[in-house]
Amino acid sequence: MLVEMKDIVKRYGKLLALDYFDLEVEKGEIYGLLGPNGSGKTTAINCMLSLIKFDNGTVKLFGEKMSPKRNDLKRKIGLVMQDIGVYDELTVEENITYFCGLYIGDSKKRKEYVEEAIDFVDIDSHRKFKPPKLSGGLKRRLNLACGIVHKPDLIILDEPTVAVDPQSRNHILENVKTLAQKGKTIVYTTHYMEEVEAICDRLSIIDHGKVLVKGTTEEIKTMSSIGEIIAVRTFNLEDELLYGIRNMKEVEAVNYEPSAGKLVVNFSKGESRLMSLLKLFEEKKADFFDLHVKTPSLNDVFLEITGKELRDDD
Amino acid sequence: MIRHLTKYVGKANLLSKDGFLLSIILPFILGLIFLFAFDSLLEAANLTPAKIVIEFKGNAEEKKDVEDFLKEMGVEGRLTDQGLEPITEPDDEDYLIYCFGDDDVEALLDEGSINAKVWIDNTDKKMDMEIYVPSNKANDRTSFMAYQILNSYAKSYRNLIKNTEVLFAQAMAGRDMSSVEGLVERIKDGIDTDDIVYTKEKEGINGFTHFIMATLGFVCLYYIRVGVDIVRRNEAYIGALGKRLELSPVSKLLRVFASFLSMGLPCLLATYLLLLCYWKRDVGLSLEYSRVILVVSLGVLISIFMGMAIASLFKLSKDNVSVVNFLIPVLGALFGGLMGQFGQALSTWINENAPLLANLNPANLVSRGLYQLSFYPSYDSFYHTIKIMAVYLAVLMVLTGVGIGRVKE
Repeated sequence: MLVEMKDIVKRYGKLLALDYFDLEVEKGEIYGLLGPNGSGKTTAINCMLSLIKFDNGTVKLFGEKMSPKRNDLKRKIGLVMQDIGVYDELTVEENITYFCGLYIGDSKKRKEYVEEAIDFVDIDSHRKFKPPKLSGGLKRRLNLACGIVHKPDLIILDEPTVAVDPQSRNHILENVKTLAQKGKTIVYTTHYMEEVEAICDRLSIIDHGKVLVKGTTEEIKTMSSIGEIIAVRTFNLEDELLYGIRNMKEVEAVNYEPSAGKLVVNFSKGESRLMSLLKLFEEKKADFFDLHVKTPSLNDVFLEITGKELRDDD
Repeated sequence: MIRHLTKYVGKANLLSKDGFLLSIILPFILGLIFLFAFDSLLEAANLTPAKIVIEFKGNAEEKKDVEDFLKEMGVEGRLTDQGLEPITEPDDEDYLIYCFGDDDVEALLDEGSINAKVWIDNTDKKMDMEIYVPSNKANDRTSFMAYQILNSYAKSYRNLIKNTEVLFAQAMAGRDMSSVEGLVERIKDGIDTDDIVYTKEKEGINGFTHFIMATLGFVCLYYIRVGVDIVRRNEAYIGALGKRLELSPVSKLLRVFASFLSMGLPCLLATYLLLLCYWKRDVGLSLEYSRVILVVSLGVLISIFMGMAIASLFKLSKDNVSVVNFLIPVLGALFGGLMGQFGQALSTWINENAPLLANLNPANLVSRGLYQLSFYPSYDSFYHTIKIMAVYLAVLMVLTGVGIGRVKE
């Protein structure tokens, strides 16, 4: 186990920020911490890295107890925060060199690492620019480069794509996947469901400092009681066909609006009923178009568990 | 590692508007502004003697006291059609040309033939004094100088009389008269006219050095903000940059030390440059270079470490930093640097009622050290102040070290 957090309790006065929080991350996986803003994701990261004290629990990284003095462990960790942690007065290249130099003493090796990081985030054409002159997306890439330039084994990415345009977001997500392919272990916090679904091997959904559910994306989705939802447009839906659909196995609800030609069929949790539905249409020779199949999303799971949507703020 | 840290942090600091301009260049500029502001006063050191007409009230003995003093400070003159002319030619150490008379001198004042009219009432040795300078000549350096000289004398004279009365009271109570007479003589010797304007024993010092000392005290104290910045930028709680640095394998102590080298040393260099300007302009600062540099360096270091100690012991929000950066130099200047030299009453009150406050204030320590160096006959007091500063600096260093080890949230 590369990251092991057990029974972490963190209080800020009366506010319980982490409530017996647990986290276990295996070597080489991308682990997502999913939760709304204020749910305790960043506090969990700060406790994991000994950046703040906590009231109860233990943190082990690389199998050893983490503390502020464990420089040997710190060498193997890279941190990329939501805010840009660089010097505005230094150029892109100088910033990356500076942060690399905190870990790598040998200047030749350092130069090599810096070039690799610049290539990796594709910021070569801006290497002489200072951060204030960079776009939001480029700043994020610089931030990422500064966090991974020393080739850490464990990379913590704390909401690295907040307020980033779609292109830059994709670029960063591709970078994260590439890092994982190189064998790096990644802890990725976000409140964007689609990012977690796209890149994470496993995840925990947290809220109010508690882990609500954890597992792979598919495992978590199966926790939902919601089944398949099939929507289709048809204007010649005879009563017989409608009766047949309503009598299909595991149908929970059928809603048909003849004027709009809109049919929505909700199935209970189980196997896909798409082929059975299409077969019925074929038997009755009914025309249809604009077919949509919706399976439960992480958001649906979150909604079911917490009774609320993922929010941007509390 | 230190080289790597200082190279990049130093560069970031030098290129930072806040770090370089506001923290290092601004106090230097302020120091120069004060120099320009006092420039006209400094020229007063080479002023021509002030021509004054004195209207005196008192008996012959009382007048003699005044005449004795005036002979020390200038030459007697007489009123002619051309104005007040000296009877004997004044030399470099004569600051006054004076004559006694109760004539209406308004016309002479208007045409600039004399600089001021002075009323001295020494009946019962009370030495009340008033000076009249035409409003259009109120900023005239020569008149100002004349007033300073006379007023200083009046104060000393009143003290002498008061002390003498005390001694006589003691004598009347049965003390040995011979020793009392000896004491009176010693007190009289205490009114040294050299002390009033120039201290002849110390080369290069003049009466306006006080202003420069206070300015240097203030400049040193200003660097408290640099100390706060040195520590704060290495704390995880300030944000992403702090967290990234905190998570690096370089200890906070080493990072803070490197920041001190790259940010604190330029403060010292800027102060030395200011000292160089002061010496070059011959502002009257003591020419004992090494001792002046010693006291000023300690002042800068104490201020920086005071900021470092505060920032390392307490979590300072941005608002709190603004308060520290603003309030401490202002209060320090008020209660030590400026008031210590310009406002005798407040300085005396602080020394009597809150001596610790005076010793905790770097601006006060610097201006006090420079004053002792310039005006005291021996180095005893100066070295006493230096010892206080050294101990103070050591305590602040220890506090900083203790504070740096704390995890602040």
